[in-house]
Amino acid sequence: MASILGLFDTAESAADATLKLDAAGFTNDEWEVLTDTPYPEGAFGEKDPKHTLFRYPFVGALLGFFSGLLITLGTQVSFPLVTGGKPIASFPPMIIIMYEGTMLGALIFTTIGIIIESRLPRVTGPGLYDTRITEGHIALVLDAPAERISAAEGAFREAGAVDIKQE
Amino acid sequence: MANNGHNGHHVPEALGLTPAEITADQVSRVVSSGPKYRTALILSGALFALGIVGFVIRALEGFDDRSIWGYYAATMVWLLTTAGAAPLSAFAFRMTKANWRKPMVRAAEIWGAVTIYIFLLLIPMYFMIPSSQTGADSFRPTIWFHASWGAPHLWSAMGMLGFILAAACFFWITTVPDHAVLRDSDASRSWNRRLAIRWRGTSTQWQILQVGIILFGTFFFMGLFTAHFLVPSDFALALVPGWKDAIFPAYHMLTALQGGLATLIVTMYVMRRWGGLSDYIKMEPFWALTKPLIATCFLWFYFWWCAFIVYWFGRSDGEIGVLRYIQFETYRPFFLAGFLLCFLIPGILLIANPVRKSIIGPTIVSLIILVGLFFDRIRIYVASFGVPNDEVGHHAFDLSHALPAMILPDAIDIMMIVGAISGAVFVYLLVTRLVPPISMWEMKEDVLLRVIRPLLRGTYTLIGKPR
Repeated sequence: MASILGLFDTAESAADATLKLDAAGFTNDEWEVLTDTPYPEGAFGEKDPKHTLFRYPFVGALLGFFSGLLITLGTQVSFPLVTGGKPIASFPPMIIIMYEGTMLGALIFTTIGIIIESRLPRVTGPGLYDTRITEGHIALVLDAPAERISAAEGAFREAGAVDIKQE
Repeated sequence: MANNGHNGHHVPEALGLTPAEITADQVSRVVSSGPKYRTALILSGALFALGIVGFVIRALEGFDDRSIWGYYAATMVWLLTTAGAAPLSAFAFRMTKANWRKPMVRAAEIWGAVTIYIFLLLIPMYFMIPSSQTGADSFRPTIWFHASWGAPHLWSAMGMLGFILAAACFFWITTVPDHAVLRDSDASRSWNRRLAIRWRGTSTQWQILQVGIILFGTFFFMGLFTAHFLVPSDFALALVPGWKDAIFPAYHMLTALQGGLATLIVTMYVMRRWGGLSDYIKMEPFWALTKPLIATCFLWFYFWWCAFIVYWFGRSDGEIGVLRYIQFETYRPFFLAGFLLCFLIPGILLIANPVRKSIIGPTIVSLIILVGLFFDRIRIYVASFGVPNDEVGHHAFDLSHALPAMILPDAIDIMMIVGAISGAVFVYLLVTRLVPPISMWEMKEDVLLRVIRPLLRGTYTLIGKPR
């Protein structure tokens, strides 16, 4: 597999390049768009971003909840002290600590989830990038077999790419 | 200048800058600082240092006598109530998709980073309060019931840590794209490089960013409630004999909503007036924020009244003692100041349309509220810390004896008050060297999705809201 980056100075020329990639037989699974502004989803015909971030806080919250339960219940059972005629394992004193555990677990797992789901940082290296993207340029990065890269390069040049990089 | 239509209605103004100009302008503000900024930094830093000196002098007297730390506690909680709550506006108005929020969100988000400093101020306070367990088999009444170890110190600090983590994460997630801009503008900016964690701006990353803001914002909201349940419970209610008030934490939270809004309005005014951001921050966010602000002023009365009338009606020794101590006798001047400055005066002022629909009006009202909240925190926390150790845990004040006397601030207290507040300003100013005071990515999105169109004899603004 090879990668190619086409840099465009306007959103219109980048969108035009994606049409030319379509015409050259590429699918939107093979390329992604890099921008410095959140464009409305689908503005460049890119694939619908898929993620499972919502699962992370749930898993973290469950782990945190049960950690809180274990700490409080364990303490009460380890030091059995009957107070006010209440049962040894009394629920009300446990609530706040279980809530705190739930929130902390959800927070930590969400942070992990964001890093993993955003591919931040990328395990396979930084990937093709150009610092002009954060100055307002739009980049299209395409991953494809090496023999098809020249077709993508042609599409980028035809759409008016101001720069092209390969790796 | 406000752009008014022929019928006097306010028409939102466009920014008038291109995305590239926004980037260039904001990056330049981060990498270079003007004389006003340097003066503010040096002044706040010097006052912060003065506060540290005051803290050290006071710490030499030890932490056992809680009464000498009352003003420190009141200042810390005041910062938690005001600066600590300000980021909520950035989250709440994102959720309501209010477009006017875009110029002001970063002003609120930066206070999220300042909460780390607030947490550092909180840590010494845990050395000042007694354990819940008072003997081998005896406990004082706290929200921790009969937890035999770690209460309230460990468990309360754990809850506060959750809040601080949520605030810091919320600050981080909302600033990631701007860190990437600064990273790309200057490779030597190592903090921006670390915090951007190889952000590239893919569609997936933008999507994750939006979801992350929702999640961390939600945790911040939950954490804020937690903080304003734990702090008043452990540092006020549990120390004052007879003070068992279920409404009080809710009242405390309400004052945080009020304080957060007031802090944000004052911050916006300072940024606009002295920070050179008048092109970005116009009248719209000031006007819009006064609407929830006026609601919090009247809710202040509602919450206070609900708590008061139950105590007034109850008439037990415990209830009479609490009312006399924190409201009507010992700390009456502070209570009256809070009543006037948090409810009555701002409520009346904000009813007037010309006050709300201006920049200076909401700012003055917000300053009044911030001062009022400070007096309110004094009457709560100085009073609570002024209860002698041998009375903590009792179910009522002994009304046959005099109530604890009012504590007024001494020179060390003044040093700590000024230093703690200046420290928050100092940290805030430092953070503006890390991220721009305006959210670049949100402003650029605004430019992308906002169009002004002619309509008959006037114009109207068309705003795209794709999500």
